[in-house]
Amino acid sequence: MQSISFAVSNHQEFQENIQKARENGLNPTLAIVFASTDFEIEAIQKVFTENKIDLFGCTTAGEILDKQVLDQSAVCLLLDLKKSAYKLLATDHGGHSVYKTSFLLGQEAKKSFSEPGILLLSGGVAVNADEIVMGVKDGVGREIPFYGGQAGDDLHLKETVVFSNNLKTSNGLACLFLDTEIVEIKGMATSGWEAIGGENTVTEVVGNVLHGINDEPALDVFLKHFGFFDNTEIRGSAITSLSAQYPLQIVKDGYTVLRSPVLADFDNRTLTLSTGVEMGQKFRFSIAPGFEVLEKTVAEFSHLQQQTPNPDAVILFSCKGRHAAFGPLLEEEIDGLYNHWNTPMIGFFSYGEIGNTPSGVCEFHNETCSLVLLREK
Amino acid sequence: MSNDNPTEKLKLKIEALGLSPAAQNDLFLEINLVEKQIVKLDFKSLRSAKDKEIAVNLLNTSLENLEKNNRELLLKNEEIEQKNLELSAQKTQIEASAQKLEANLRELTHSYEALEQFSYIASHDLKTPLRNIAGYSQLLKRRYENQLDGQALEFLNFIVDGVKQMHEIISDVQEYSQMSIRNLQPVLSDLNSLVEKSLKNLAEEIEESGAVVKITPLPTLSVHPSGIIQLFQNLVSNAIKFKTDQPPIVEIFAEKKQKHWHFQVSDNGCGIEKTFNQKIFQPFQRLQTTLPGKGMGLAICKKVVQLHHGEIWHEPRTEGGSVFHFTIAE
Repeated sequence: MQSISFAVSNHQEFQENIQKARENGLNPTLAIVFASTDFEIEAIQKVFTENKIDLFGCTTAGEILDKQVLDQSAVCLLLDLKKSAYKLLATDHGGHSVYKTSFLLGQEAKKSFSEPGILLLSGGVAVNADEIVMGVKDGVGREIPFYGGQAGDDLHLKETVVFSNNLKTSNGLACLFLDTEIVEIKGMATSGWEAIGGENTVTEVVGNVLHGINDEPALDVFLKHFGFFDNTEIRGSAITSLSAQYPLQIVKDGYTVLRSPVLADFDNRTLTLSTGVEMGQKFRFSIAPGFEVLEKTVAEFSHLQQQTPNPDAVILFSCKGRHAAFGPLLEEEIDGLYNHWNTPMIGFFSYGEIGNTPSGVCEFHNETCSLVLLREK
Repeated sequence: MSNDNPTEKLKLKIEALGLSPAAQNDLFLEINLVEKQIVKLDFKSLRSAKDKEIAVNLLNTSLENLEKNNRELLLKNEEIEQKNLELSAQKTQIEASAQKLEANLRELTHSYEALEQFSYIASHDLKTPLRNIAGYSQLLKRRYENQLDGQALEFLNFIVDGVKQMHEIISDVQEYSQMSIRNLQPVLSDLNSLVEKSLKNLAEEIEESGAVVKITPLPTLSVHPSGIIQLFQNLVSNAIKFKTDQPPIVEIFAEKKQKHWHFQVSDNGCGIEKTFNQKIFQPFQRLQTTLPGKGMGLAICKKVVQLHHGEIWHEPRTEGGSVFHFTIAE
């Protein structure tokens, strides 16, 4: 399988790059596109549909191309994967619950291929992402290679969108089912976030809206730890950039998962998390580690490099919280990861990541770097 | 023409230095690199400041929690101290009550022992003059019977009967007081054999009345044997004494309960009214003055049962007669 990665600053440049790729002998069947919210999605859909290229993409909170971190651009990975090796499905949750839609997608993956792998993008800011992972896993009925991310919207936290050739939705899922008998999918999600402070207890929660921590309003407890803001305006902007960096660290069935607050409601003193937590659940807040963790992450992925030294393409789902915590230094991590393979790589800064933990269990994460390698067998 | 783009401005300034194009490019790249490093350093210092702020917040939160815990602890301590004071006062009261109770118990025991001793000595000392009165009255009757007129003889007979009656009363009182000699140690005894002995003592009465005594197997218990013999003897004797026209039928039955044995002695006699249920166990209570007896039998039974840490009570039998229930601790 051949692949080409490129970035564009407007949708017209897509056509130029597709043309260039064809001139270089690539006959793309599938495009993976991660675009800033500045882009008109319908225009992107038009370009790829006219070129008879299947489209799988979402909006972002920042884009990654090879070793660069970009902003207000769109990145694209063109693949000449044979049509029998994949199936694309995008759907709106509509009247279904998130779990139900995900469950049906899982079943569809199982029907499509005997050994499926899934890449999934989720649209919607307040979606309980745990239900996606649970639904898909239940639908498939077993652990499979399963990676993905929650779309971003440049930290506006208003509307995150996933799209295919025919559908654009801020309340649904885009799925790429791959036949792993043809395409090998390898990946890993790693975090490095450190727990701080004492143990806290969830004392009031409705879905993924956290009302009470230790019998106090959830937002008050959060602000007590991570910032005291008197001015409403400063407070509002600070919480959006800050909250994602200080997730709740929960020990679940022996492994740790992070749950980032994504929205703060100052009237009701609540925090909306990227996914639900349970009443009575114990957690500790966590904080970004020192910058040395960037090197550690790169080193951890070297094991993956040894297993799959020559992938055809690399996709990276990196949490926006990591970007906020490491700032321009995150480029060093991305640079290190790209150097492992020197293969076309695209990615985006996401609001949540799906990926296998080192123990092999697929989970929904925050503050992680979830990396996927694709290789045609 | 003015140019606001910082990169372009930098390029113009480098050009103005008059260096070769290659050197100009090198300088431009170097400056770019330095600028990037400055941005990274600025970010590091911002992160470090924020991390410090969070560390301070954490410390403040921990201190707040500590203070809150301290305040709660102080309140709890005050509550505990208050409770301690109350408990201490209650303890003093209980100790005082216990001391008083102990003193009362000592006094009661002493009084009881004195009373028992008195009744025993009194009954003993009364018997001697009575024996004299009875003896000399009978001697008087025997020697001077022919010299006395009918009325004098009648008076003499009254004296003799009265003395006999008085003697029997004193014997019962003596027996009653002996029942509470608590120094006796209980002995593991087969109650079947003790009942057998009591029936043997009543052989004459049983034969005369044609009474039938039915006994279900009885247990072996640690008891005061003489007291138990007396207990069954009195109950069976009462059943025979207070019979109807029919021959007496007495049934003795025992049943194991959780911590004691429950005994029943039932008869088909004339029965006792419910109103007398308590009275019958008091000393010298006689319900039928026409029948022999001094009204001490059931009082003795009660004492024996109490000695065995049990209870005794009476219930009328539905088909006529009485049922005496008593318990004996295991």
